[in-house]
This record gives sequence, structure tokens and C-alpha cells, in this order.
Amino acid sequence: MEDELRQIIAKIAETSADFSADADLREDLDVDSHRAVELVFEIERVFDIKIPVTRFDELRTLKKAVALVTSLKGAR
Amino acid sequence: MARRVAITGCGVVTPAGCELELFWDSLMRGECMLKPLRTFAFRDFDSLIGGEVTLPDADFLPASIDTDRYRARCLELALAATRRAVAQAALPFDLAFRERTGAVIGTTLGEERQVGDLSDRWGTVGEGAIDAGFLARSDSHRLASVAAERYGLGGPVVLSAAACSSGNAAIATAYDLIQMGAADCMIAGAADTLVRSIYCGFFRMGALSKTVCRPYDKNRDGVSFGEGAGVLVLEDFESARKRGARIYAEVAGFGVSNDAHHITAPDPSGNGFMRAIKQALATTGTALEAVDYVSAHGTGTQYSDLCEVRALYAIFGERAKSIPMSSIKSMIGHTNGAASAIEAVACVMAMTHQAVPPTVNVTEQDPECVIDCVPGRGRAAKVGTCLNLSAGFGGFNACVVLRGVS
Amino acid sequence: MSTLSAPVAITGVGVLTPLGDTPDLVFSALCEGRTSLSPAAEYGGIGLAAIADFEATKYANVRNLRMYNRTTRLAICAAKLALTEARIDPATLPPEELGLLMASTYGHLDVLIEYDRSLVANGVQRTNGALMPLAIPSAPGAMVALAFGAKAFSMTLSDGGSSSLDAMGLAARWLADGRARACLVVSAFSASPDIVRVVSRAGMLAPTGAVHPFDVRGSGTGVGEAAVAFVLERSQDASARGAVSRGYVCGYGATFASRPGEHAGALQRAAKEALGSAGRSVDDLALVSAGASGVRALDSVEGRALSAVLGSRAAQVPVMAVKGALGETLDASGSLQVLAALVALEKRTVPPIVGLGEPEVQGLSYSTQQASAREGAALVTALSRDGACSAIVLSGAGREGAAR
Repeated sequence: MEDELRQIIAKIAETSADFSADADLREDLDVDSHRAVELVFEIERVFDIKIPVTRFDELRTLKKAVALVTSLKGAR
Repeated sequence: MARRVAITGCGVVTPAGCELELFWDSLMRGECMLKPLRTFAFRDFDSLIGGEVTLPDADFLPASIDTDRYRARCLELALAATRRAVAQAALPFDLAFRERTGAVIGTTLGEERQVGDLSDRWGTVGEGAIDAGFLARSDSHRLASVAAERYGLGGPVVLSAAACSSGNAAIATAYDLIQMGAADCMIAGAADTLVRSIYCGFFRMGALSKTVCRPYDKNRDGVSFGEGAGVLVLEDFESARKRGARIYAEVAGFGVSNDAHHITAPDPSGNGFMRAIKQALATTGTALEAVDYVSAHGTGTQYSDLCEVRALYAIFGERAKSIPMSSIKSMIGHTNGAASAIEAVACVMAMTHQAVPPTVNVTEQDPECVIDCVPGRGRAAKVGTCLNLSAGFGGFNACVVLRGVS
Repeated sequence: MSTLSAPVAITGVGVLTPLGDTPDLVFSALCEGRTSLSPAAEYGGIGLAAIADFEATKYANVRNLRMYNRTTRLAICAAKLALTEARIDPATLPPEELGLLMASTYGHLDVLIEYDRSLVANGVQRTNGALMPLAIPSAPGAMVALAFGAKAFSMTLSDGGSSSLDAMGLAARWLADGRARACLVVSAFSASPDIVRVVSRAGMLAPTGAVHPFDVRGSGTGVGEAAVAFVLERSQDASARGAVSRGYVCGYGATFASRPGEHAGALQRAAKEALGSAGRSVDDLALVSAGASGVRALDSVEGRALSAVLGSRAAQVPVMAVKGALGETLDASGSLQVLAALVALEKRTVPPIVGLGEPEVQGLSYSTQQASAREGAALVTALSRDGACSAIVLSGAGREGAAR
């Protein structure tokens, strides 16, 4: 799952997939607010989850994104 | 020699009313017209808040303009506002006059519901849902060309698309066509409907307010939408005088800029807005002290409102604290492309009545937005020169300068 | 009264069409009498043309390119080519001095259709919200402006076939007013399957795919694909920085026909205004670059208007028309006509009108084979079904604004 998320982020950030799991998506990977909308959509679609608006902030790094998706999938 | 451009008529159809004085009274009383929507719904939203226009029967379009299936709401709004502006201007309409009169209409999405209709029926009818009239009905230019047809116009007929700056874009373009001598009179305005794709898009971007928009409020959480149209009749000053037209105000000129910063978000420094205002002031020879009222873009999002305030401070310095700057979007919602056209009309009303309209829904003003947003109710004020601001997706900023005439 | 206070230089041109991606390639193809249109069986045989193997990254590599639809990517590439030719980049021109006017009426429509269709079929949660800002008419232009940091202004005109000529007229004005030192005028049209169906159902297309501009056999047009971009600057600014101008925009006129019988008269007025504002008369014209597309009703209006404008000069002024070769490209069509006229003036050559056999309106000097042209100015005319008419007058390089 981490690898799948990594690929999604790489595609949207238009960057190579070998970035650090702690890299900040906005500051280091240039995922601006528009790309973030796309990112949320992709993640929700691929993992069949719904990310509450209040938890969008948890997509700041790959590591945190993995935790978020895990918790949302576990909750279903 | 530069021509002066007079405003000889205005018309609006808005959630606060379709007659100028009623519209103005509603604004001045600080009535918030954002309510649960009755005529517009989408399955994924239990309740949507917004501003709807109640059009009198006289403004409904005959079936011949469109198919039986679907009313052309955006065109209806545009024509309704145009009819009012043209009536107020009491235009002559002899052939010579008509040949030198054109129209510029602006819109964010035009007749989007044509596409909506297509989507609704795609599941059942598929390709068969596309009929012979779809191309013409989904052509935004129709908003300008049908008006031009109705009044027998022979001058330039243009559709300016600049997202939420479309109204100002139309006024600026019309102003310049008169300046260029391509026309002596121009109908200039904008129209937009309530649009599900925009509601949904803003919702997904986290920019749709969960309650109502509260420009400059500390807890503002996004936009509320409205539908509507605003139209002005612009005329070469001398021609207007010669025919004995009543001149309500003047378009002194405008300034433009483009943030080119981000697909949707403005340049947070406010630099884009600032350049547009600066250009407006410089090209119209307007002194800082002469500005009496600013009709803000004021959509009620955290970043956009702040941006605008920063621009105001960059231009006016400490005076930015005390120049009345209000957002009527707090009362009628963000009418997308129509907004800056309706707001231009509000500026004309402000100069006619020597009063400034309020910003409502402000319970606790943001300490970072220290401005006189005229909270709650409108008030009397000396209004000689107004700045009408707008910003569109992608960052096109426009500032139109409107001046009273003695 | 002058519509343009001074001629405006064209210092860069970018073009992408099925017939080539440089002005010279496109013009050669026109001279050879080639057409890009071929009958498309999957749409019932209507004429269709598309740019083969279009790969945007070949021309421009800008952020978010993958998010943009084909029309926007074409527009970005054409803009890049024009800026490169004009030698304009952030190092040579501050971004606040570069403006953009986009001619696009339908460039967003496929995105809007896709987005809204997904909302209905899948609901908000399963629809890509990032598409919404790209689903509005101003989007393609805004994305081109974003790609190249055009910080002076960015606005879109959606006037169908008149858009690009109107954009040129307005650009000239905004340059004269100092709102920018250079302005990109960009136009693009690309038909997705939905758009082809939409255009087809509107009854504008020749059912057999054969397009005959100005011809008695005219039964409709074909669907083309193109993107064209120009860099416009005030003549003095171009000279000051040593830029090479391909030609000049000298005059502009725009009118409207609000009654069916008034159409030819309205186009005639637009052409006369363009000539008048250029300080030119028909005696100065080397050629006319017309918008005739094979839609007989419109072509005959244009023919009659041109006859009236040219008067006794009709026999001496060749009329060229590119849509037999390039199809109908709506917002890009005016720009293609301007581009063809510019190269024609430069090479003193008029290409033939592809598909013209027997003209309906007599008396005009229709170009039926490649021929040499005199030196002079060019009149470009565009008209659309809804009544909008626009005209531009161009002069060639080295004839900066020289009025009689």
C-alpha cells in the first residue's frame, strides 16, 4: 500500500518515485492546493475510502498518508 | 483625443431584487438573501444555501429561443438585466444609432445547464441527447448575440470570459471599444446561473462555506453562491449629452493584472490586486485621496480576503483602515462572472445616493483584516469615486474606476 | 476616428496544424493544394483533420501539462513557439510586461462535459474536483498565461470565428495603452469525440467530407484542429529591442448583423472600418484572406460583402481561403487566416483555394492556382452564423504602418 501511495503521489507531483517518506508534500514535492484536490480524489478512488476534510492535513508526508489510509480502511 | 465614457443606464437581476431601488434598499438594510435553495438541488448535497433570483413572468423566455426540455436560464438573466438597463437609458434605436451600438457580455460558465441537461440524459439516451441546437446553446457568445439581435445592434458583439472577473472584463472591453471609436454606445454586463459543477468543485476544494459567506470575519470558511446579472449602458459622453440622456456616472477607466501564480489561488502577497489598482489609478489620474469607496471582490475565503486587504494597504497605507470597502457578496452571494457587473451597478447606486452598502455576517472581524468593511448596515457617505475590484481563477485581476458626475 | 492608434508589430508566430508546425510548412502545403481533411467513417463520413502524433512535450514542458486537455496543450505549444521566435522570456522581458488574450469558445467544453457527466454518474465524492477550474471558458487561456508567467493580464474572448481577430484588435489597444509591452494572442481548437458530434449535429458539416469554399456545391465544412499564437508589440518597442517583425496589424473592425438580410452589409462595414482605421483603401490591398468554409449561406454572404468592399478593384485583388485545406477551426480560424496572409505577403505568393470549382458569387478574383502577388496590405475577414463579423488589415514586414 505504501508503494501504491508513493506511485500516486509521484504521478501527481510529476516527480520520480524515490522521494523520502518524510518529505513534505507541499514544501518539498510541490503538491500545491490544486494538486492536493487531485491527490485526495485519487487516494479515495484507489483505496475506496472517504477522507474527511478535517483530516486533509494528514496528507503532508507519505508516512502520514499511509497512517491515514490505514486508519480509514481499518475503520470500515 | 480620449473620449469620456458615460453610464446612461443600469439594470440588475439579483437575489436582492430585480428593480434598482428595491435592490439598493435591500443592500442598505443589510438583508442577507442567502437561503436554502428552492429551485436548484443536487443529489449529493442535502441542503444548499445560496441566492436565487425571482424573475417576473415578463422576463421568461418564449419557447422558441430554446427547446421545450430546458429553459436557458443564463440567457434569461442576461436579457432581463439588459432590458432594464436599456429602458433606463432610453436609447433612441434609429438605424444610425443602432449601427454604432454593440454589446459585451461576460460570464464564468454561460449556459452550463445545457451540459447539465446532457449529463442528466446521457445515461438513458446517450449520444442521442446531442441535438442540432446544442452547439449554439452552449456557445457563451449567445448571451451577447441574442441581446444584440433583440435590440437590432450593429456594432461589435463580444463575449469576455474571465471567470470571476468577467463583469469587469466586459466593462473594460466595452469601454475600450468606445475609446477606439469602434462604437459610440455599448451594452456591457455579465450573467451567471447557479451551477452544480461549480458548487461541487468548490466543495471539493474546501472553499464552499458550510453556512454563509462572511467576508473579513475571523471564522470565514468560504463562498456562498448566487445567480444573477448586471448590465450597464456605456456611451460616449458627448453623444449622450447631445441626445439629452441622463448621465448617472462615468467609467473613468480601469487597471488589469494577472497573478499567474496558481490555477485557483491568488498570489498571497496581494501583489496582483495591487498592480491592477495601481494601473487603474494611474491611467485614470485618480489621486489616492479621491477614492471614497471600494467594492471588494470579498468572496469570504481565508486567502482571498486577506490578499485583497494586503493590496489595499500596499496602495493606501494607513488610509486603508478607513476607506469603506464592503462586499455585497455577503448578501447576494458570489454570482461568479456576474458579480463585478452587479457590483459596478452598486457603485453607481452608491454615487447616486451618496451612501455605501454594508458587509454582513461579520460577527468577529479578522484582526488581520483591519478595514472599514461597513459592517451590518449601509450608511451615508460622500461617494465621488469608486473602485470596483474583481479576481478570477488563474489570477486575472481587474479594477474599474467609476466616478460620479456633477 | 481611428480604431488603432498605431500599427502593432507581429514579432513571433507559433502554429500547430495537421499540415505542419511552422508557418512555412503550412504555407507550402496550402500552395501545393493539399488538404488535411479526410472522411471519417466513424462519424458518418464527415471531413475531419487531426494533428498526427501530437506530443506536447516536444514543444514545451510546463508544470501540470498532463492535467490539461488537448486544446490547452496545443495552445501552450503554439505560445511557446511564438515566444521563442520573438525571443521573449522572463530574462528578456519582465513577466509584468507580458499579457495574454485567448480566443476560445469551446476549448473547455470537453472538460466540462466529462466533469459534469462524472458528477451525475459517480457523485461528488468520486469526481475529480481538480477538473472544475479547467472546465470554464477562461481556463485554456488562464493555463497558457500561467505556463509563461503572463502577469500583465489574461482574458479570453469567446466570439467563435471572430475571436482571434477581436483579440488582435483589443491587444493592439491594450499595448497602445501601455498595459503590457508584449501580448500573446493565442487561439486553439481541437474536437474531442463529443465535440465532433456536437458540431456534426449542428448541420454545419459536408456529409460526404468534401469541402468547397465559395462554391455552388458548398454543402458544409469539415472539422479541423489547430493552435496559433502571435506575439504582438508596439512597433517602437519591437524596433527598440531589435526584434524582427513578420508584419503589422494596422486596422480592425467588428460589427454585428442582427437581421438575416443585413449580414453582407455588416461584414462590409467591418471591412471598411478595418481599412479606414488602417488608413488604407482597397487600392492598397495585395490580397484578401477570407473565412469561407464551404457553408454555402455564409460563404455567399462573405462573397457579396467582399464584392461590395472591393468594388472596381475586385478583379485585381486575389481572394484566398484556407478552410478547404485546414477545415473549420472556429476560434483558431481567424488566426490561421492571418498567418496565411502574413506568409503570402512575405513571399508575394497567393495559394489556391482548395476545393473551389465553380464560385457562387461572380466577379471576385478567387485564387484557383498558386500565383504571385503584388506588394501591399491584406484584408482578413471572419463571420459566424450568429451574425458577428470581424476584419483585420495586415501589412507585411518593412511596411510599418505606411499609409498613403
